[in-house]
Amino acid sequence: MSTELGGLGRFAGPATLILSSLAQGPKHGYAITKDVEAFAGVRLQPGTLYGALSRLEHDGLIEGLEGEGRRRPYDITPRGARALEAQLTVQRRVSEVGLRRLSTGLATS
Amino acid sequence: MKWVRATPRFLAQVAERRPWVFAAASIVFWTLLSPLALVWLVLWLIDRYRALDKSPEATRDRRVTRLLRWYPAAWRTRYGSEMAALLHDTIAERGGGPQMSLNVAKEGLAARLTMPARRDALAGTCLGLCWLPLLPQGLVPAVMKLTETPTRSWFLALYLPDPYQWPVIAAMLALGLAMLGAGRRLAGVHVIPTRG
Repeated sequence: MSTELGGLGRFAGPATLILSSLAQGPKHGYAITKDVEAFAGVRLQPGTLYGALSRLEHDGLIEGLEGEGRRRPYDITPRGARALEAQLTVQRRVSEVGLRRLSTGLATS
Repeated sequence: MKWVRATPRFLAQVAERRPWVFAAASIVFWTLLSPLALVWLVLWLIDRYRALDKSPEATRDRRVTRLLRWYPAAWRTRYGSEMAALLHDTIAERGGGPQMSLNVAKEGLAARLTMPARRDALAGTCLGLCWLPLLPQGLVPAVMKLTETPTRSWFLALYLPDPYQWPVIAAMLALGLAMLGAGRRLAGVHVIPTRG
C-alpha cells in the first residue's frame, strides 16, 4: 500500500494535510496552518510546515507562485493531486476496515 | 558607563559585528589576564541590553532572526523571507512558545544536515568509518571474549574491567550500526530546491 506521499517518511502526515488544504486553492504558509487547524484540528508548527513544503516542492507535488510581499502562495500540481488522491484512497480503505473491525469487535465483546 | 564604551575602535567594531564571538573570546582570554576584564564584560553586556529596542515589534524581529539562523544560508535564501513572515504571524497571534522554537531548531538542524555538501561529507564519514566501531571494536572483541582469547591487542573493551567489557562492546556495535544506518539514510535524502 505504498504511495508517493508515503515515500516522504516523517513528512507524509503533514504533506497529506498540506495537499488537502491546497486542493481548495493556492495558499501561503500561514493560511495553510489556519486551514489545517480548522479542518483537521492539527496545528502545524512553522518548522514542520516548511520542512514538508520544501519536500513537496522538490518532489514536484506543489509549486510556489508569485505572491504579494513576503508571503509566497503555493499551489498543488497535477502530480500532487494524483498523489493526494492515492494517499486518501488508501487512508479511506484503512479507515473503513478499521471502523468495521472495531464495530464487529465491540459487538462480539 | 562611558568608560565601558570607550574601548579601542577595533574591539568596538568586532563587538558590533559579532557580539557573541566577541563575548566568547573576551571570556576565554580576558579573564585569564585580569578579573577586571570580566567586570568590564558584564558592564558591557548590561550596556548592550539597555541599548536594545524593547518594543514588541523589535523583540519579535530579533526572535525571528535568531530562529532563522538555525537554517543553512542556502535554505534561508530560498525560504527565509516567507518563513519569517509566517513566524511573525504565528508569534503575533499565538505568542509562539518554546514548542515553536524547538520545532524550528529541530527542522533547521535537519535542513543543515541535508545540505548537499554537508550531507555528502557526513554520509561519507559515516559510511567510511562505521566499520571501526562495528568490526575491530565490536564484533572482533566479542568473538575474542567468547573464545576467551588472552590477547587484548588494540581492542578498547578488553582493557576495561570485566563488568564494563560487554556494555562497551554492545555500545560499539550500536554506534557502528547507527553510523551505517545514518550514512545510508543521508546518502539518499533530498536536496533543497534552488529555483525561485
